[in-house]
Amino acid sequence: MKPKEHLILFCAIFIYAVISGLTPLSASNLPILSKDHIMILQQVLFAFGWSSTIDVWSINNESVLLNNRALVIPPATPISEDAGPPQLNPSQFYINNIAFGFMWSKFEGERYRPSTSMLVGEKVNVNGRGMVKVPDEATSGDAGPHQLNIAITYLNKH
Amino acid sequence: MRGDGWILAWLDRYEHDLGAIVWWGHTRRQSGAPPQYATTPSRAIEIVFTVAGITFPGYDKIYLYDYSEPNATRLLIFGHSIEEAGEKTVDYYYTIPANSTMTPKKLLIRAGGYSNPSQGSYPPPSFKLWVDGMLVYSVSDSLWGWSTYQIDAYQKGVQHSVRQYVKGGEYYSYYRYHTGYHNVAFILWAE
Repeated sequence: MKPKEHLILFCAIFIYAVISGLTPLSASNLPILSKDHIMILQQVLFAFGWSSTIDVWSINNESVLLNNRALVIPPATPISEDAGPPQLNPSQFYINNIAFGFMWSKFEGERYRPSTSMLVGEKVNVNGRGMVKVPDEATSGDAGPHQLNIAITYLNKH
Repeated sequence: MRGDGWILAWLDRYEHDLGAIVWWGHTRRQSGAPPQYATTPSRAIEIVFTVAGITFPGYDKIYLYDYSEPNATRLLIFGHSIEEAGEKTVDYYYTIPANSTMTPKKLLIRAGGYSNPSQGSYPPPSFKLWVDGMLVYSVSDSLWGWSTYQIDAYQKGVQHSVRQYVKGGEYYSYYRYHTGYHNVAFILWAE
């Protein structure tokens, strides 16, 4: 091949490479990779899936094996068995991963578990004195002298 | 299961005190594409096992039952998330080849969005989705939350197109936007 032909061939390849690099691929001219893909996704941000058999799908031009362990056919009949003894002392409320907690209840024996950890946490009895039944009739009496120096904020044990 | 994470509660039949309620968000603490580091049911179950003091058998031992489509043998999830201070549109495509061994049964779109509201009389935030050129929804609530839509655009041998759009709320002057978030997941049940 003569040097001039070399140059022409080089220019042709260079121009083709530049055009190919600058021309965005539309979805219609993106390659469909394989007929064996059960589904083809193009330009998605995320994709994941399960299959009960060995299946491959195409995600943004990459063949990906579906998770074939995570999807099974459920039993033909509903599962119905003894659920065991009833709960004797279920808590009324469960809180977890908090910094602090206070609770009141008029029922004795109720407990809750304030904890900053999911692994440890001591059960605490609710304050049984802080919540009482309201009187059947409204109470009316002298509330004492009025406040002389009311603060807008009160801090206690801060 | 919520759009922003998992909530699991469990009961030990022989224990008088219930286990904790676990919420596990979708916050990714490591780089990488989902689903490696995003929330997965297996990961949430692993947390429950750990708290309950049970040896976790491994992610590959966790199986998924889906009673909404009891005959489905495949569950495929894909989509896009947009976070943009302004307007943004993304296009993506899905195709079930004509000779695919898969038979689609049901296709749901789980979509949500959020943006601070616009000020005054400026146009509200906007979240739109088209499938095959047909408008599926157009939402302008700043606190939209999550909605579910069922469509039947799963014909085999056809390339289906999706256009996802977001525009955040406007403030102070035109062309200044709050960040808008628009997240869409397609959930396909198939045999």
